Amino acid sequence: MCFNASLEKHAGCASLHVVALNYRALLEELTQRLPQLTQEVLTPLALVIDGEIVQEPFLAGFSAEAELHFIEKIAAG
Amino acid sequence: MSEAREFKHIGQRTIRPDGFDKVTGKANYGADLSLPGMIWGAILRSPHAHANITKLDVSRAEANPDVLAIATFEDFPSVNAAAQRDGTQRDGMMDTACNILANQKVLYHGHAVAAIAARSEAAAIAALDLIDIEYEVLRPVLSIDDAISAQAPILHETMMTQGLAEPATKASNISARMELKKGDIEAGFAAADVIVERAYDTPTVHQGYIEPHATTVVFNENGPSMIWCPTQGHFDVRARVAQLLNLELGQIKVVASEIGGGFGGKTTVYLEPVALILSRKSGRPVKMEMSRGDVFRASGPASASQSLIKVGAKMDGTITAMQATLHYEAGAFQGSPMGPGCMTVFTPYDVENLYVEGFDVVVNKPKVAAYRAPGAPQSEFAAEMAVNELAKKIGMDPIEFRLKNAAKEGTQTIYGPKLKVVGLEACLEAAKASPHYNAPIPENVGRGLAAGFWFNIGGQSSVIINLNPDGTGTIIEGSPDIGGSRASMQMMAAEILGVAPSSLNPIVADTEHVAYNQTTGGSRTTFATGMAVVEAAEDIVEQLKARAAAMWNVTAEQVDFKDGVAHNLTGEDQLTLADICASAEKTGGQISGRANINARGAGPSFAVHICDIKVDKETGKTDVVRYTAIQDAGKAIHPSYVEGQFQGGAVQGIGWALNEEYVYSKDGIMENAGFLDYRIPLASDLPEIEAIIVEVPNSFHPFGVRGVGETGIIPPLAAVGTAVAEAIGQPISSLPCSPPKILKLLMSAQ
Repeated sequence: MCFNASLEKHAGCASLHVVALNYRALLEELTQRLPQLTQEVLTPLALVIDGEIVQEPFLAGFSAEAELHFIEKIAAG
Repeated sequence: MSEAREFKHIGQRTIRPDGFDKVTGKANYGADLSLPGMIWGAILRSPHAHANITKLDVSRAEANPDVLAIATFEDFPSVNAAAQRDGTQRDGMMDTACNILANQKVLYHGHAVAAIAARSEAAAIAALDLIDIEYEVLRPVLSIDDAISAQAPILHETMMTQGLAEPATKASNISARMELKKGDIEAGFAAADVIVERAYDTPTVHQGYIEPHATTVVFNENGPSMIWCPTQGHFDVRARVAQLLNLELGQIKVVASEIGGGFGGKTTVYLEPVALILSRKSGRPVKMEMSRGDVFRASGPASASQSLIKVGAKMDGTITAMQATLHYEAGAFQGSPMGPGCMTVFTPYDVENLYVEGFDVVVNKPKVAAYRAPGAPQSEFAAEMAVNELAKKIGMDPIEFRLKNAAKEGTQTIYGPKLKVVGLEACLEAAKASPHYNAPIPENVGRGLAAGFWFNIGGQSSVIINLNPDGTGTIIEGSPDIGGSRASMQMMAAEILGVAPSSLNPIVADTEHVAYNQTTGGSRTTFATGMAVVEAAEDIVEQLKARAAAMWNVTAEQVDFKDGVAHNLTGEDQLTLADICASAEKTGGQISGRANINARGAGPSFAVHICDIKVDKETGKTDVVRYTAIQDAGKAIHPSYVEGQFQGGAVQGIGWALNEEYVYSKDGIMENAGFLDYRIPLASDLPEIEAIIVEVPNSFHPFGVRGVGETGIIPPLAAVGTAVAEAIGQPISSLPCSPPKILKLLMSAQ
């Protein structure tokens, strides 16, 4: 799990290894391990799984080796 | 989508199904609906850019016999004083409501204050004079520099800057800060042989859609109320109106009329909730329209910006570091596209060390809305200008310089993830091989080149395809068609079903006749709604196989379906799609396919533009003499419409770069709120925009589609800016390159 500079302030680190195979497990582990990284901070964000932006990741699953990033949801023009 | 495929319809240039009605005037746009008993609404707008409303008395207007209803901010039950007292206020809707009808304070010239519905349009406009209103005029904040100065008046007393290292302790005109970084920026600059550092700015501009906002509504207490309007997203109109007026979604039906351009500017609501309030109060259908002046003054333009860019490179052309500080005007309420601006600014480059800081700033101008690739043209203009200057300093061709540093599969972006397969290098190679780039630069002409990046998105789309007994059919989609998407849907369905595209009639249904669709925007429609069309068509193919199997008394697995014909794999029998439909009554009834998806896998898009500009050094007037737009479409479903998107984006970007800007007096009064004074490019101003389609397929789409609607507006700003700089021999740092500014630069050089 990698954090951009804005999230790094909440997380206290640039990246960490997370044991999770889906979005909900990821949220649970992150919010338990990093209390400042709350649901309110994370749930408005899109999740990027191995380079693929998932705007609504609620049901998203991924492999144990996946590289994950949270990013701001992309607006439409 | 891993290898080149042969298509029957995809890639053809079919006749657009909506074209005849549009060119003959039969198509119905926002202002074209009239209903029995209909009355007209008009809006009282602020003559001041920044003022407290000290008195608002509508009693004289109410007494007028022609006046049938009046609306003010207090008519928004979700956010009004009663909601505040009851503790039911929806905080998230407050800015939206205050933008639609001001609450105690006006924040820009043209800000709506109250609305009147009367028996005629003239009566409604005349009755506005009967509203007694007084203001305490405040000093307007009209620029980023002014807004962030210590002496600036604060627009919102409760707005604290989000995203600071420590929580803000006092109100500010900066609503948010964002920071992105990669590598070690200081080490990167230390390793550079040459550094370019320059400040750039871009003006407030408007999308310039030709059709003003308009709506006709009917409030119905016993059933769904109806809203008719031109919008990029009628489901979003329904949601916002429902939230503002505390209605259930099922109490509102929104019909998307034909739309005369949107470009991101028709993704929100202005008139619709007001008209519904007036209709509810009067018991009559209500029509409202914006004038062109209203559109300029009080809809959502694109952010003005200020960018400080620093780029360093080695003499061999390797970029070692890129840094940006970006300020975006949000207008009167927070929410500029600062985030995507920060994320896109350096994405065309594979560079180890990056740092970006962004700020969202409120000013006394209309609240901004999206405009093609929101946020990206401003920041990438600045980055591309600096990159061109740097390439020149180290003596490299701008294409070779970009190829040496180009983002590619595996490039780690500043916003985090690594890019998948992308087409920037292919676009640069296409530019290098283009007739334009290989043509000599004419005398007194400057040439500029720039790249651009946009993410593209997927999202929710729903589609139903119904087949008729004769094999014709209807594609029912919920994505308003702003760029020819009906033709693309027709072609994708025809490709799967093996029928002629013209046998399938694509219609954009209202919010009651198809399930939820996200807004047409983000370059998502051909990608995401197209995926839904493919899925719905594949659903039909499975049903056709099952029906044929039933007629042949075999299993569906023993039936193949290809090019519109079912084949019995156990014999010689064949049935066309029309044959199967003709027998549908006997085999189970009407055949209908559907798909409701939340599309993932949108493919990012890159573009490269080349511009030749001639400058009249006596007047400062500029003429674009040649222009080429090159972009990765993934796969062009309908090449003419893809080229049209490239050309449209290029023309809007050229206008942004050369002439377009909001001009305000020192009091914040917009002085050029019309097309005579706000100069968008005309067809007669420009040469043919040469379009080159690059196709690097997106593996997540069944036909390889990436979006094409937005990226094309990004490169023109720097391509034009660089061309002008080359033509006059002076650096360009401020847009637009209008004649007075060019003359000033020329004179300062003498």
